Amino acid sequence: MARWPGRGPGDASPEIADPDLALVERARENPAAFDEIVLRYRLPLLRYFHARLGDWADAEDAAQEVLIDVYVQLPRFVPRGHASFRAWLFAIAHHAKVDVQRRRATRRQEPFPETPTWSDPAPSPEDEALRADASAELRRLLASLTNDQRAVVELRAADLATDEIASALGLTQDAVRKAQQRAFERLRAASAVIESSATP
Amino acid sequence: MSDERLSLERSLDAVWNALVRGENRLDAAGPERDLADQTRRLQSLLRASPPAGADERLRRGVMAEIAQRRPHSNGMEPSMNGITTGARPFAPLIPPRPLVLRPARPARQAWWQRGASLIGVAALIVAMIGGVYFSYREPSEHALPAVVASPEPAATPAAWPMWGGDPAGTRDMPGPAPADFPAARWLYPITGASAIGSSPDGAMIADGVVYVPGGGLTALDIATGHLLWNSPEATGFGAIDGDGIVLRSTAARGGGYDLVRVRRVDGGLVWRSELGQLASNWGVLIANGVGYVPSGSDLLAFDPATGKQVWRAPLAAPASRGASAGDGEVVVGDQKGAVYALDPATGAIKWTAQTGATAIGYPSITNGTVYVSATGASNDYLALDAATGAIKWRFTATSGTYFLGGAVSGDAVYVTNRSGKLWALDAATGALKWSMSMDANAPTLIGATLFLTTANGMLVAVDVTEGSKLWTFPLGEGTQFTPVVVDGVVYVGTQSGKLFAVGSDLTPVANDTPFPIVALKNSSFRPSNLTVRVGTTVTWMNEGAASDTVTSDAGLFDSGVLGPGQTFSYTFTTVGVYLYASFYHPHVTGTITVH
Repeated sequence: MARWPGRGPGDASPEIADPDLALVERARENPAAFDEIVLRYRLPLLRYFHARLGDWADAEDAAQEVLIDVYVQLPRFVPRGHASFRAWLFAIAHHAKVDVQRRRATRRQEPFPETPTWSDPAPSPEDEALRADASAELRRLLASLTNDQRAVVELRAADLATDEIASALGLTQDAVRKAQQRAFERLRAASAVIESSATP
Repeated sequence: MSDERLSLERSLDAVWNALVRGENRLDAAGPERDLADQTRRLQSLLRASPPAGADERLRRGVMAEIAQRRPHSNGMEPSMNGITTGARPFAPLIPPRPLVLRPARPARQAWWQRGASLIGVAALIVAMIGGVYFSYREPSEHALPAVVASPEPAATPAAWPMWGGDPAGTRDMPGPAPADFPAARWLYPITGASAIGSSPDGAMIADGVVYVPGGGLTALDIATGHLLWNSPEATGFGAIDGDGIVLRSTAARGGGYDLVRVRRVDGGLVWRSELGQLASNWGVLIANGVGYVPSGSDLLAFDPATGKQVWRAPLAAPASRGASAGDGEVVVGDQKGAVYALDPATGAIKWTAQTGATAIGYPSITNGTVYVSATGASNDYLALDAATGAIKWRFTATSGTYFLGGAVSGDAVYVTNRSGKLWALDAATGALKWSMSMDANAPTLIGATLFLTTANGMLVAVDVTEGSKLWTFPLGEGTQFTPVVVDGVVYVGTQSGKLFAVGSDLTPVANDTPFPIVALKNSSFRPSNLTVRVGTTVTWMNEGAASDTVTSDAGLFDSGVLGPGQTFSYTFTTVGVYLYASFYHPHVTGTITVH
């Protein structure tokens, strides 16, 4: 029988009580209590999907779908030694089929497609440009990674620990560490290239 | 761990903490200094803040959506599983209508109107599946009782009557092949003296029953994988003849085996002859109502109904493998490299060809040509003129060792060699059309698709027009089994004795299948609902490309992470309905109903 990752002999991490379990229990009894989970994970999820999709509006849509999915599937979450609630949440996020094409097509049909819907108090054009530049650079950097490396970086960005990433991706902790090392080496190289090409 | 590696890991950890956690602990000194700037740059990208208001808007959106949904009642919503989408699982399929009291309306319409269109959809799906199921089962259900009730030969010709498929040994058969990507439907673990899959075995199929030379001879219903009978009497490369099967005995005497006939209805012995005269790898051929098998150092023609000799032709040396029949002759090779063509009616030798090899494989005969593997100083595959025995061409393997059987179609020969390749040769000239590296067993050709098993336990489908792999299906362990393909299902055995029925998603898994397989792929369990009897072992096979799990909702079973090709089995010992899901895709669910 296959083992859950993170439970191998070399991975003898102590069992730590999952701090989210009380939240999960409350949300199961009272939908309004799911708000606490949303509050705790909205930013990590937005960043996670931003790293993945390179667009804040897409990230917002994807995060909303995943949070609703998490709520719907909450009864199915059974705390186990091998996986925290956070790992489960990001497993769902990682496996979510993010149909950006479809979403973008839908958005185009809305009345003011080019106007950002968020109520940013007058973002200057420079801010917008900087933000777009940063997103594009992040996309370029992440594009230089393999799928596994990329997934590890994205989940790292969401603050998941090695054993949680292992659980969410179905990899061993060793594999996560190796992917992380290689990802870092590649990111550094790619970042250097981008920087030097930007400097005349 | 070396100090150097420890130090490297520490610095990488530091960098990563800085990168993703915002802990600026990097000292601006030492070799890490160079990293710092770039790390901060990456960090600022990964830790970028969303536009103001995005997080709050997200929160409001989620909570508004949740407020419209029912609270979790008993913690489970099984009736909705599989019908709804992940993003909007509980959205009604039709908009709710205002309740209007209409006393005249029959209760049934009120039930319908109350919006149980889910039930309608479910009924439609059941009807569609049922339609596929019954149209699939039709041939076997009609034909099986005929075999059971009557000793007369079955009316329909056997779908896969002998090892080589047809008497000519072309291994080019009608199939049809699975309609889509593979999905295992059931398996049967055959136990007993002789395992399957550890020698180049195949199977025979007629009237909805597959006969597998394992544990003696094992007969299984091909629709359900139910054991019909197991006969300890006989095994080996047999041939179906009406209500019986002719093959060799399991028990040896004086180093050889007997020629035997068993009944298809129960595996009981009908007759026994040629006591101790057969080698284990000599297959039985039946062509035009006459049986042919090497015996001692002869080739024997016999009446398959009685076992009585029709003629007996002495060869210069004992046969190497069984015979094939085509183009008006019976062809067999011997252990000294000679190939013989004999008159099927009289046993008169029409020609003998000396190949210079020491062993000749099963011949394949088509279009006036005899194709055989010839192993000796070199590993060759030969084309001989069926009229004269003259060698038309000789293909020598440039990698690997001896050739296994070939599949021959009109213009091409597809042949494998041990530890070598799959070779596609021009049937007329022997010129190499294409090759593919794989340690595969003899292929089976269905239309333009080759099916092969590999030594490392894969079932592979190859498109012969392109010379490209269509798919590979993991069997979990090595095998030498030659695939048998009938009615959209590939039957293959593995060396521990498991026989797999590998169809496609269109192939139903019948209820009460003793060893059902649920395929886990493309984010779904197929079939997602299965009914089994108490004591049934269900096997889940991860047939997708990503890791996944099979996890019981009630915590009853949990596969852990299943990599591609890995399986998980659970035996259900108590009546009940068991819900399970994928840990990674919680809305991917399945149900096992145990009765």
